[in-house]
Amino acid sequence: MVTARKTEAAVMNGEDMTDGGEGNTATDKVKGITMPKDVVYEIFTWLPAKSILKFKSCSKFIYEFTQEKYFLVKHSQNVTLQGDSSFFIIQRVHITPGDYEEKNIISLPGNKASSLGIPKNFLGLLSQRPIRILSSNHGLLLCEVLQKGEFYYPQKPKGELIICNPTAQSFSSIGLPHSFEENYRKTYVTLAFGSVHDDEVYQLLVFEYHQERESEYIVCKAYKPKEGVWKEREKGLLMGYRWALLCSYSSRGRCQNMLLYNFESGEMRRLLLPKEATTTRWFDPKKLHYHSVRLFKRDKAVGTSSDDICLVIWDKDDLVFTFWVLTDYESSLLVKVFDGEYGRNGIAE
Amino acid sequence: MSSSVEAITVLSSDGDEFKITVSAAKLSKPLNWMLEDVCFSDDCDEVPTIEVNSKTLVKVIEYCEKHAPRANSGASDSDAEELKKWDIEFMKMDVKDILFHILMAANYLHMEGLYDLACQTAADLMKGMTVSQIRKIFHIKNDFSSEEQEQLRRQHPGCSFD
Repeated sequence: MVTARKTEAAVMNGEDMTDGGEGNTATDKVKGITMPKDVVYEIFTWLPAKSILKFKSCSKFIYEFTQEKYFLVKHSQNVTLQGDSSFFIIQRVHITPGDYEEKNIISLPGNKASSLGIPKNFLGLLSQRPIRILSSNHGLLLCEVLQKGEFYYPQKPKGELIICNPTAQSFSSIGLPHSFEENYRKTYVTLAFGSVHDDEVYQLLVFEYHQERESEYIVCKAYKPKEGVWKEREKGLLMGYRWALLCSYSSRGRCQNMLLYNFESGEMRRLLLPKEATTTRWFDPKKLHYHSVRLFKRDKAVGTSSDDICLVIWDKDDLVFTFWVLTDYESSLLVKVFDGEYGRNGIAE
Repeated sequence: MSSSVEAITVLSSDGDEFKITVSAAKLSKPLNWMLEDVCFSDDCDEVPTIEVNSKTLVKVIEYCEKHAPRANSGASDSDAEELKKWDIEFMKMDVKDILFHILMAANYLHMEGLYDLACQTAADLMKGMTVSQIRKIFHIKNDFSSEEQEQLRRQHPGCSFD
C-alpha cells in the first residue's frame, strides 16, 4: 500500500537535517534526503528479523513501531516474498529424558548463507525450552510443547502448541481442539501452518485422516488467531497453497502413507514414496538410531507458479540428508534431487 | 481525456521537460488523474510539474515504460520472470545515491510496484549496516536516556547503541 504524504513529509528529526560528517563510507552516498516516517516504516517491514532487532536501539520511534501488531503482520507478509530455501533441523544432543534439543538452521547448497532471518540468540532461547519446531512459515515458527515421556520416546507432546515470532521475540500458546488431542500422535493427524490470510496473521489447520472400510475422509479444523478458537473448516480456502501434505505413521514409527490433499476440490492423492522413505523408521529402538522423514512444503520460489513439495530423509547419526522433490502432481512422482552430508559448513553434496 | 494524445509532457522539479506515454503514466494514480484532467486536452498549453527531480524522474519513467505493457494487458509467466530480472538489474545500477529519491517519488506518485521494489532494495542495503550507520542515513538521533539504554541492554543482551 502506498500512501503519499507529500504534505506531511514528517521530518524524522528536524534539527538533524543538515548533512553532517563528510565520511567516505558507502552509506554516505544516501545522505541528503529526509524520509517521511511511513517510508522508514515500510522499508523496515522488508528487513530480516535479525536486522530489525539490531536496529531497535536506533531511536524510540523505531523501537516503538517495530513492536506494533500491524508492523509485525506486514513484516510476515513481506518475508515470504523473498525466496529462501533454508530449513530447520533439530538435533537431539543426548537421548535421555528431559534433554532439550538443539535447533539449527541449514541452508541448501547454492543458497547463500541464510538464516531465515532468525536471530541467533532467538535460536538459543528456543533451545532452552522444551519445545519442538514443527514448521516455519513467513517468519513465524510453529512449535509443540513437550513433556517427559518414557524411554523410547523421551519427549512426548503435551497437546499444546506455541507460535513464536522471532521478530517480536514473543511466544503465544494455543490449546488443541478436543478431538485432536485424542488422536494426536496416533496415526492420522497432521498440522498445516500457513500463510497470512485475509487479515489473520497466520493460518493453522488440523487434519484428521479417517479410514473406514471403503472410504477415506479428512476432517479439517482451522484455528482463528483473532478469536482464539478452532472451527470446522470448509473446502475452498487456500492458505496460499493448493495442496496440503498429510503424513501418517504406524505405531512403529514407520511412515505409512503420505497424502496430498487438495484444498479446492477436497481430492486426496497418495504419494508414491521412494523405497528409502517407506523403510526408514522414525526411531529404531534397537539401534538407538534416529531417522527423520519429513515432508514439507517450501515457500513458492520466486517466479514459479506451483507449490514446491519436498521430502527429506535425514539420518541423524550420520548427518546425511536425502532430498526428493515432487515434480508431477498428476503422477505424484517424487524425484531424488541429491544426497548430502551436513557438516560444519552446511550441506555438501 | 482526449484519446488522440499518446504521450504527455511533464516538468520535473528542476524545470526539465519529460515525455511519458499515456499507458506508462497510468501506472501512477496521480498522473492518471492528471490525464483525465483538462491539462492534457489539446487546447491546453500548460505543462504540469511533478515534484521529482530530473535525475530521479528519468529512472521513474524508465520503470513505467518497461512495466506499462504488462500492467495494461496482463502477462504470461515468462514475461513476469523477464520483468523480475529486469527489476533486479534496474535496481543494481548505481542507485545508492538516488534510491531514496526513487522511494520518495514512488510514494508520492502512488506506484506500488516501484515502491515495494525500492523498499526491498533499501532493506537489502541496510541489512549489514550498524546502528550508527542507520541513524546517519535516516538522520535519526539516539533519543534514549542512559537509563533506558541500560534497560534495553538488559532486555536484549547484545543490543548495541552504536
